[in-house]
Amino acid sequence: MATQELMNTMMIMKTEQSAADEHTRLKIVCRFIEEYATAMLSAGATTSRIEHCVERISQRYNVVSDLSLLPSRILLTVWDKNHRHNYSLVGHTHKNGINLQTVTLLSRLSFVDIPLQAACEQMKNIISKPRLNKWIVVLLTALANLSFCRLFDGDWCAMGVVFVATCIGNVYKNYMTERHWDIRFTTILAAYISAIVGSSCFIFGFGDTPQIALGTSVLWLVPGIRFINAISDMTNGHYVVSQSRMTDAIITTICLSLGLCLALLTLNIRWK
Amino acid sequence: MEITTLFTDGLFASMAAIGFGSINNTPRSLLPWCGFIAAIGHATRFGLINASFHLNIILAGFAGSICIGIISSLVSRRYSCPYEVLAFPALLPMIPGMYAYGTIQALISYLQYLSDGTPSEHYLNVLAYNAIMTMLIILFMVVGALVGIFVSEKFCGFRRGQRKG
Repeated sequence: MATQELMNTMMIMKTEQSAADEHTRLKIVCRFIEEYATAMLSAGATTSRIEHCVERISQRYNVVSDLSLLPSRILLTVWDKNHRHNYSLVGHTHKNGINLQTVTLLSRLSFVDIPLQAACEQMKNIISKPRLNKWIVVLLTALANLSFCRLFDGDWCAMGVVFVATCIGNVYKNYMTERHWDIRFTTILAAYISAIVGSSCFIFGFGDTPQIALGTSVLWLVPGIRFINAISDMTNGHYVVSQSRMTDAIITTICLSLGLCLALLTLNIRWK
Repeated sequence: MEITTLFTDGLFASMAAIGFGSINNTPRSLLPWCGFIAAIGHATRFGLINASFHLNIILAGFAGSICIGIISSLVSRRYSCPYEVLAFPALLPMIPGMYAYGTIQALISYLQYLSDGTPSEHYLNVLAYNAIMTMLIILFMVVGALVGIFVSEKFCGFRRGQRKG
């Protein structure tokens, strides 16, 4: 009789032990997936990409995950395969700008078959990877805007002015972003500075296409990837995230138009 | 239309894609590919707009983005990266930025002329035209890219999630 009782107690203890182990495992997996999905959403991945990657990761670590994506939060519940234990987390996204390198590397991470601990470390490395040197970005953006001016049939004078306008505007924008100024104010001011420099074709009479120079000088601020992401999420049926991204993009566009209009008012240029 | 015009259009489009891709921190090894894909897409659009039948900018953009979708899907398999990392920066030179801020500018002009007491309905027209063009161009562009990706996945026997290495 006494042996039977002892065995029963031991079995109960064993089940409790394994339940606790399973719960700890679920907790670690849930924290990993939450960080992963938050990083992907903050870096500007499309919702379908995030869902696919999370699905792959949950299959690899033998869990069932339920993910809701919201504009600035994610809700995640992770179950074990038997639906007996679960763990839930809410993740907060941050606004550090779109980072396609993070999206690429994190997406690759979802394909490789490695233990959870190693995957966590790799993810930390990926998230803390530095961005491209900001001076190279300034130069490349200026070259890109110069080519944009050419695509709109601007002449060489207009292209040169647009190059300088983009450089100066972008340097000021970096300066303001590093000091954590309000992003909308930053956009208005950057557009204003770019447009003031871009209107030098009007003032000093360079070239034959001053309108194109002025028009393209602020185009580098248009949030293209946000617009594209918004439509892409809409086709995937994630209307809330899509709306939020579209509103973000439209607000940035309104800010840059305000900067341009302020510059036109300051210099008293009648355009169009 | 000469082949050199097409070529220069593609060249400048690729420069634009590389520059705007670098703002969004596209991986450095993929930037040349982004430029190449953007060049093909933009040259297609340019060729269709300036061809003898003068295709509408929306439909021409749709055709160009289908090319972008197909090529970026093929290249993304080779480099095992998400297709949107290649396709979205390549679509950037086709974003109708001028129409986008033309909308806001027309709004401001409308209010300005309205308060002057001069006829201002023209600006209301301009506002509606610019807003509709912006939305339609972006919508057709993205849908075109997704169609291209779908086509290449359908006809190359490849499903998302099955990738080597």
